[in-house]
Amino acid sequence: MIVELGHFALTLALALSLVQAAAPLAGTTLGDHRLMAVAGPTAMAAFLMTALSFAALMASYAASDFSVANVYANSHSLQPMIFKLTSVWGNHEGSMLLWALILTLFGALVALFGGNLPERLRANVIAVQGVVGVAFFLFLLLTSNPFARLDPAPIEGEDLNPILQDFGLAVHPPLLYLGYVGYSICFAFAVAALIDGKLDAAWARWVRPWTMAAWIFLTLGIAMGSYWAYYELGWGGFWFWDPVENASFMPWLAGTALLHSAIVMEKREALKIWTVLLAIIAFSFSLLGTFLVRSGVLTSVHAFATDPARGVFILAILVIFIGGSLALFALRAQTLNAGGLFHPISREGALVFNNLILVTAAATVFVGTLYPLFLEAIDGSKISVGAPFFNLTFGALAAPLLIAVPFGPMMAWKRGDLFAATQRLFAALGGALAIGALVMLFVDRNALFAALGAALAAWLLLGAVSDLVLRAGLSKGASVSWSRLKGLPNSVYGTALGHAGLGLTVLGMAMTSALQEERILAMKTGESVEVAGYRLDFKAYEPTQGPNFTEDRALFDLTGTGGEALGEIFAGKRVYQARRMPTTESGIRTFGFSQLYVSLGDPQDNGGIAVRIWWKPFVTLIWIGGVVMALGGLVSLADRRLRVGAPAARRKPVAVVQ
Amino acid sequence: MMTRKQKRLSIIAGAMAFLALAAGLVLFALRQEIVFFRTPSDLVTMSIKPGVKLRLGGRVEKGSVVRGAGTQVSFGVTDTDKAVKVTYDGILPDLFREEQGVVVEGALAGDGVFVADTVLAKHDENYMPKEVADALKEKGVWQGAAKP
Amino acid sequence: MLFWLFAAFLTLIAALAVLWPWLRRPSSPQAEAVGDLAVYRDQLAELDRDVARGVIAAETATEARAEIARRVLKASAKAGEPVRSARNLRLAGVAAVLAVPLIGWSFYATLGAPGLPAQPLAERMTRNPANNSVEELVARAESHLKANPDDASGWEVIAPIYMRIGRVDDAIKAYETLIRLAGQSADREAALGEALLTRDNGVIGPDSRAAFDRALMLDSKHAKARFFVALAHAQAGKLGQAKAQWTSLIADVDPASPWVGASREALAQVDQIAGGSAPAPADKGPTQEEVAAANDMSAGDRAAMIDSMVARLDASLKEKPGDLDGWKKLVRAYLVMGKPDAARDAIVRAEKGLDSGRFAELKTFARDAGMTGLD
Repeated sequence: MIVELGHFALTLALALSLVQAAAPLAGTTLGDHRLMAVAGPTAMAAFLMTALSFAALMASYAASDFSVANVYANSHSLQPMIFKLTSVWGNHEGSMLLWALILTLFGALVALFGGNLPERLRANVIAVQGVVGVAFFLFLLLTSNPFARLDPAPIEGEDLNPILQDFGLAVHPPLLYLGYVGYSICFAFAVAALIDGKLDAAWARWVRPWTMAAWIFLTLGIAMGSYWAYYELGWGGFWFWDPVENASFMPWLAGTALLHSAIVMEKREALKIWTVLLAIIAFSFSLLGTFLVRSGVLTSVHAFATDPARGVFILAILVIFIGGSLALFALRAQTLNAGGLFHPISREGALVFNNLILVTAAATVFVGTLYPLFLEAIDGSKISVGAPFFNLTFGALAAPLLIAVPFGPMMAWKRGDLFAATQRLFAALGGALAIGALVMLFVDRNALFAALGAALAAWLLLGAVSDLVLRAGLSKGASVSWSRLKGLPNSVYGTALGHAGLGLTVLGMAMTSALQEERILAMKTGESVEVAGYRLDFKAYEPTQGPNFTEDRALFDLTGTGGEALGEIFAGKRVYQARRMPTTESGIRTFGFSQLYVSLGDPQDNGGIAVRIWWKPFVTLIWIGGVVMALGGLVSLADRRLRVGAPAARRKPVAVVQ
Repeated sequence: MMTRKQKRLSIIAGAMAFLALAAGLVLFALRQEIVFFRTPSDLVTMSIKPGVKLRLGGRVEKGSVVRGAGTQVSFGVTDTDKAVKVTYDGILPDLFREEQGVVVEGALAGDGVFVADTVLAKHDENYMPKEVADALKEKGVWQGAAKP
Repeated sequence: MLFWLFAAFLTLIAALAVLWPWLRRPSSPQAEAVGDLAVYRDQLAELDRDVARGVIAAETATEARAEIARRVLKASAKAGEPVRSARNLRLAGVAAVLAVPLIGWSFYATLGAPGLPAQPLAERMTRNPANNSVEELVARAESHLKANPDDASGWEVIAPIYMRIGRVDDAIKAYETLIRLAGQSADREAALGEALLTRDNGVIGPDSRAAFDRALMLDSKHAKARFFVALAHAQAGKLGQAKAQWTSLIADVDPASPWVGASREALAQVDQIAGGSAPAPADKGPTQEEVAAANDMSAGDRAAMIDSMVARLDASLKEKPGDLDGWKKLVRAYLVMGKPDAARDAIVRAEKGLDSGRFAELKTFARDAGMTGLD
């Protein structure tokens, strides 16, 4: 019964979304306040129904109810409970339901906290959310129904793809989706503004925190995904420019641009039209990302062809939402009043520069990701666009942006002084050059790339610190500085943290790429190998048994640079029973920010086994930097000024809606 | 002091110049950095120069995997029509198996042996690299849906 | 029944949510610019707080205050505009409320399976065995044996079931475990031998032969073991010895025993081999041993064995649909077996795997082999 109630709740959610889309739009067009007011309670009811539906699916996974086709295809009775539950979104249907759940959650949040939004804006925003919801619920029910049943029920499931049975992948999709779907709110606000042809002051206040929240989740999601790929795939790389990764990176780039342009819009009421366009672009990339991954068109054009209903549906959704919103933008953009003006050399100018580069960078990633598909469709030739393309184009764009980052916060609004800003950054510049030179002199004389990377990272970090120091006014004595520091708005700290996090990530990437050490060799038990001063003695190679897999484990005794014993490190090769699929489990030991990484290859004919060992200096900074960036966003979000919406309703002079 | 119009124009002109530069860069990179996909038959019929970087896809030939000293390994890649010998020094991916689809990236050496610097076999046994699936399909030896 | 109650309850909640605005007293409409004004007023208050805390310089504050004031003036001008006339569209409201149950129920009516209960695995494992399917029973027995791997009687029950449902490898393991736990007996060893020879497609290899020999050591009169040892001789080409053993088996055991009939048929077949009526081995079909085994089988067994070989070929063609020779063999096999429909079906499936030239060749071949009704 639980399964069918979940299914029924899903159909009710579709019905509610239809009403949520149609009634408020009719209300704003015809001027009926009750129809407009339908938006709020309907959005909350739609969330309730979707949550019930999701809970029912989760319960079916927990109980291994193989009469549900989705549970049968992606779960196994021997899985640990945590992976039974995370299997819910480890597959196409379940993850789409999660998408819908988050979408309706955000719709309900707007309904719940949007009491102080202007009535028409509120109705239109929730209606646009409803339209997105209708598309997703129809997609779920008609092409990807998670509640399809099997009768008679099989006795055992086919298990989840083993590489997804991992904590990293358990949290990665929900984080990513919170980010993707968060942009749907910005999108809804943008489209609502276009429908009504006006941008309220409340518009800017609302868009910025939503953008920030979505961006935080997306940042964490991408960092998590990158770390997962690093330790789970056993290749030791942190970013592969794989189409699936690019699919999440494009909305991040557009979202980062939106985040910055929203600042200009909120503070200066400038760049309004551009911000509306960016909100549309960011969500379009989110949709594209979701569907590029989900449709399978990237891994195989045939996946698209084998399930034409799904493929056509996805195409239709992309065309309607992206094409429709852009067409609406083209039609209505000129009715929005343009914002204030500013000098090219100013804080606004710096943010425009930031936007320009980020959007261009997103465009190059877009071209590189879709060009092979495009070329194949045109003349059938098959190419691959790999890391070299992205490193060249993206790298060339990222370098000037990274150099420009510390200048931004130093510039004044409206009219800035580049020379003065440079003067203030003198200390940071000196520090960065010194660190580059030190890396060159003491770490490795030939590592130009490492030196440049370290200098750039130091420039970002010191630039962020300089900003805080200058604002505190160190020359005026410690107590004054301290009280000034305490008084600084959170958004200043958020900016500093965000930019410093970027510096940490750059540092980690530069150090790992330039200075890592790697050994690949065939080893037999009893042999030992030395990497970066650490000695590994191959002690044993033994089979072990997991709940739904068997594993061959290689155990190594680890000895440190000074001869001290550091215990064991082990790496394994697993075979999961249900799918007979092998996976590699890497052995990782962290020393400070650096890691020693061991992964296994194939057994050799002579009884040895291929072993691959890396020393990865400062590698964890890559992800720590991501977390620091997200933390910066969180601090900024906690800023009083950013708190959602206008003042409390009772202070309004006129009688109030709801 | 610039007028409003001049301010706006200077920003737009700057943006345009920047975009043109970026577009040029992308076109340059697309010309330089893309790698073509070839089948073993292509290698034989197209007389590709040694040293040109490309991707070669097909099935791992049955009984062709020979392990040398250390992590050296050689195997044949076939599209059922022609086969090419590939050598590789490194760790093969988990799902590398005889008779399974594989894509290797590298270049031909002078003696007609393909020297691979990357071997790709994806993470799902249902997965067939897209290019390989297409190529094999043309030969009529592969059917079925590649699941993502 | 309970399901419909819950479903009706959910529908009610959903409809009430849509109906909500009509259940409340209407609030007076608000001028659109008022929201903007409130935001600006809040911004001014913020500015004052910042100045008070000394976060921003006085001159910046003055400038900002001036800018916000300009925006306030603009918005105030709009706030005076009359509120757009309000309308009350009752019909639209009724339609919105009715849409929820109508759309929800009609979608569910086409997609749902309201009668199908949830089937959590744990519950399926504990309910009355009479309601379990064979698969579920096997799974229950397996989970029992997983918890109590030393329960010999459990292995004794499950081993023959494995044989019947075709899980031969599991049957072999079960018999081996049973013999280890409960000791040897003629019946168990003979059953193990039978499982082993089933695994080897009817060929009696050294391990199954050893099992039968052990059974005979425990009970020299054991009928099953004697029958298969005779078959082993026949497969090895020692037809005389085989005939002698079958003859003595028929004489020894109870005439009602199934082994008597089997032995008679076997004897008849041994005589046939001299007549050379064995089917010609296909070059990619059964091995020599399989053919020999087929010769030694009863007519029913032989048909089953040929069926299984054809099925194997059929399955392998699903993997490699481009194999023209394989398709030819399959079509011929179906025609010989008197299954023209299956042959036609094979040709239809072959079309997807073969290019047009080779497909035409297959059709010609089928026509030559006596297939009719091909366009």
